[in-house]
Amino acid sequence: MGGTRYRQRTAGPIRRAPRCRRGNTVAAMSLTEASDATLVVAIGRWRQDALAEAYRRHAGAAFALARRLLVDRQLAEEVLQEVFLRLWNQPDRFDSERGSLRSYLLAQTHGRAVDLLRSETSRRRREEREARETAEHGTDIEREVMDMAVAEQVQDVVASLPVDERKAIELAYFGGHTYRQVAVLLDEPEGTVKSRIRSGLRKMRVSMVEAGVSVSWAES
Amino acid sequence: MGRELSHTDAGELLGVYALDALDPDERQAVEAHAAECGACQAEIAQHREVAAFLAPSWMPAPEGLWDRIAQGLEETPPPLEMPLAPVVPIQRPSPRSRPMAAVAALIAVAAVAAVAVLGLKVVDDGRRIDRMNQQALSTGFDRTVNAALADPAGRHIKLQSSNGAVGAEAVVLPDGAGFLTNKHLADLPSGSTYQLWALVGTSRISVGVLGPKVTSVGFTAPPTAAGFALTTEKAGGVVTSTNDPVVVGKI
Repeated sequence: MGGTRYRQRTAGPIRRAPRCRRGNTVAAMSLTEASDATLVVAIGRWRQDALAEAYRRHAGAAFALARRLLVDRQLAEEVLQEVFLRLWNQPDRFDSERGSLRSYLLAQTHGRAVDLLRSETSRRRREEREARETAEHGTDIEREVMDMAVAEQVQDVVASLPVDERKAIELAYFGGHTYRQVAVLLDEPEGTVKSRIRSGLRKMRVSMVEAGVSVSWAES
Repeated sequence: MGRELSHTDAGELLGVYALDALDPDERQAVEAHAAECGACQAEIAQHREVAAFLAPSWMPAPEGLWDRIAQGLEETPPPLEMPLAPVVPIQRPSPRSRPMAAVAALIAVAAVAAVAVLGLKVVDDGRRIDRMNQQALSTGFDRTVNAALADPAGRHIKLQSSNGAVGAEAVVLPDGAGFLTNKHLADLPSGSTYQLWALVGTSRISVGVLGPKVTSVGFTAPPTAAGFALTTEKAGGVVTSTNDPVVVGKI
């Protein structure tokens, strides 16, 4: 494609804070009403205010997930920063036909947090934490499952899963374990664990659709 | 590991892949298969959407983190990947058209000055859009263009030739972001280029020099644009055009 020239006003003013914009009120208002896909298009055009709006919408959920996995606040902040910088630098990696921006950002957050969990330094921290928690409370998978979703409908869906599928999903998703590690933890064959995880996720999808939980990809 | 997975073998790993529960070698094998398999890509996306519902719903984002991210944005511009198209020099005026030529020359001087003053930002915008445009055939950008073309909130324009044939379609989103996609525009010989103009009042304002082969491109639409037109020009584009449009469309 030939070199494309653009007028100067293509670029919005630099904005540092999502809630402290100055000027360009119309553009700011339209961004707050814009779809996530439109936001990503604007991010592709170097609109920092679009990234700020995406941050305003989704940083809370991404940070909650990172904290859940890593516990360490500083590490979770590093993950969040990396995820949003990646969205800024590679907006074309988000495909609005493949899912929501929320699920994309949470998947990015989860992947990076798991990488950190498996790194030596944080593994040591995590093992120390788990040893401390185990000493104080013992392992309580059911408690983990109970608070892993706040929405009542989603809780119902999770509760309806067979316990063995639920445990496998929870250990993989929130524990950051590989399915081989989950197999050891549950004393089950590896093949059984990966089948249970896939089966559990599929059942949850069906149940969510039946329960009317809004899922952008429903039977697309 | 470097092994190739069959579709069945890959399918068995999609759930654990979506939860990041694979070892690196298996993860790479799944990614290699999924890169060529739309069904597996779709299933992974579905699993991730479910997983997103499992995530804790929300907690306040850390104080001051946005400021650190915003500071990082200024430090991460990508390297310049392609030069801007050169501005074509204004042709010498003929004696009969001296007044018009003088006006054109003044506009050209102003345009060059504007480019010089605003060059850095233009380069930043241009290369980012160029990078996305370059990836249009193989990445999500073309899907983004398609999504924009299907966006009911957008203003849609069919650019038609004098015989009514649709040469290109464009959409302008509420934030001014515009996308044009080729329908039946023929490739031009080297040395020529398509140039996109916004129709504002009685003026044409250049919004993009598109090159001799047009696929899908992004541009910024002036808020007062009443339509768009494509002309063919010498490579590099022109400041003002006297050529008749190849196709034209009103918003």
